[in-house]
Amino acid sequence: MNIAVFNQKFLGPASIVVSILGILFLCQPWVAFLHSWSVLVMLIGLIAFNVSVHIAPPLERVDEDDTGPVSLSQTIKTGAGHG
Amino acid sequence: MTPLSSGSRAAARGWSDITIRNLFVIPTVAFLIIFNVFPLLYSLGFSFTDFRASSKDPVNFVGLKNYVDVLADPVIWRSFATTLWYVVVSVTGQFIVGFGLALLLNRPIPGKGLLTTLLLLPMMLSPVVVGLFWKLIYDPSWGILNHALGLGKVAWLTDPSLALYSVAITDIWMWSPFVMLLSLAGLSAVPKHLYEAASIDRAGRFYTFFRITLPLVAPILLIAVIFRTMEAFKTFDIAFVMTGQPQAELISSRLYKMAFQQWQTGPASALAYIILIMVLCITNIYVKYLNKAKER
Repeated sequence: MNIAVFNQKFLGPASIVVSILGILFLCQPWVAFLHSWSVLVMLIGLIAFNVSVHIAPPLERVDEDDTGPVSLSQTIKTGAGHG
Repeated sequence: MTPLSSGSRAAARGWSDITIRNLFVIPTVAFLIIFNVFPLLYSLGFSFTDFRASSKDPVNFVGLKNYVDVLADPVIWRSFATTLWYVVVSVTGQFIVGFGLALLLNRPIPGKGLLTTLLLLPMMLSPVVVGLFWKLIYDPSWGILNHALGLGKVAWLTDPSLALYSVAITDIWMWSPFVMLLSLAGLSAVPKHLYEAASIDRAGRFYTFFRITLPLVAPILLIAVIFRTMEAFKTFDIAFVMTGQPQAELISSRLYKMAFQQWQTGPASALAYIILIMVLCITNIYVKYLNKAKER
C-alpha cells in the first residue's frame, strides 16, 4: 500500500474522526481527564488533516486502450461487459 | 503579461502591468498583515505569558501554564459544555424549522416570492438588534410572548433553566431562513422525472421522501448543518445582549469576561486559541464534506 492509498483509506477519515472526538472531549460535561487532553487530540486531528489534504490522491489505473475499468468489482458495479 | 495599450493613461505614465497589480495588492496585503496576522501572532505570544492589559507589571513567560489552567478551570469547562448543548439545540431547531419551511415552499403557492423574502428578513437583521428585540418579547411583565401564550409571568431570560433555551429559540428564529434557503436550492435541483417515476410505481409519500428527496438533498443539508454548527459555536452577541445567567454562559461570553472584565489577557489568549483550534477542526470537516458534495 503506497502513501496515497493509505492517505485516502485511513489518514483522511481518521483525521476527521480524531477532530470530532477532540471537539466532543472538549465540550462533554462528564470526564475532566478527556476535557484536559482534548486540545491535544484536536491538534493531532488538525495536523493529520493538513498532512492528508497535501498528499495527492492515488492515480486510477486504466487499460492501455482505455476501453473500460480495470478491476472486476468495478466492472460488475458499473454493469460493463454484459452483452 | 500583456502590455498596456499605448493609449491608456497608465501607459502614458510609464506604469507596467506589474506596477499596477502591486498598487492594488500591496495595500490589501499590508492591511491584512497589520490588522489580522500581526494581532493573531501577538496574541499567540500573550497566551504563553502572564500579561495583564490593565497592569504595568513585567511580563513573564509561563509556557503552557495558561493552557493547563484554562483546561482545568471548572467554570470554563461548564461554558464549553453549555456551548455544546446550545449548539445541539439551536442547530437541530434550525434544521427542523428551516427544512420544514423549504418543503412547504417547494410547491406552487400564491405569493411564494413575497413569502420567501419575508421569511428571509430575520437573517438580514443585526444579531444585537435581534437580541434586544427578543429581550422585549420575553419580558416577564409586559412582553408579548407571555401575554400571547397566556403563561403569566414566566421569566424566560432570568430563570436559569430557561435562559439558554430562550437564547436558542432566538437563534433558531434568526437562522432558520438560512437553512431554508439552502434546502430550497437543494429541493429545486431534484429532477422531477424521479417523482414521476415514483408515482407511476405507486410509491407512497414517505417512501418518496426518504428514498428520493432526502438522499438527493442530504449533501446540501449537511453543508447547512456544518456551517450553522460552526457559527453557533462562535455565538456571542445574541447571548451576551440577552442574558447574564451563568447557566447560559457561552464560551465566547466567558472569553469576553476574562479578557475585558477580569483583564486576564494571557489566559484569555490561551482560551481564544483553544476556541480557534476547535473552529478550525469544524472548518476542516466542512471543507471535506463541501468537496464531497461538489463531487456529486
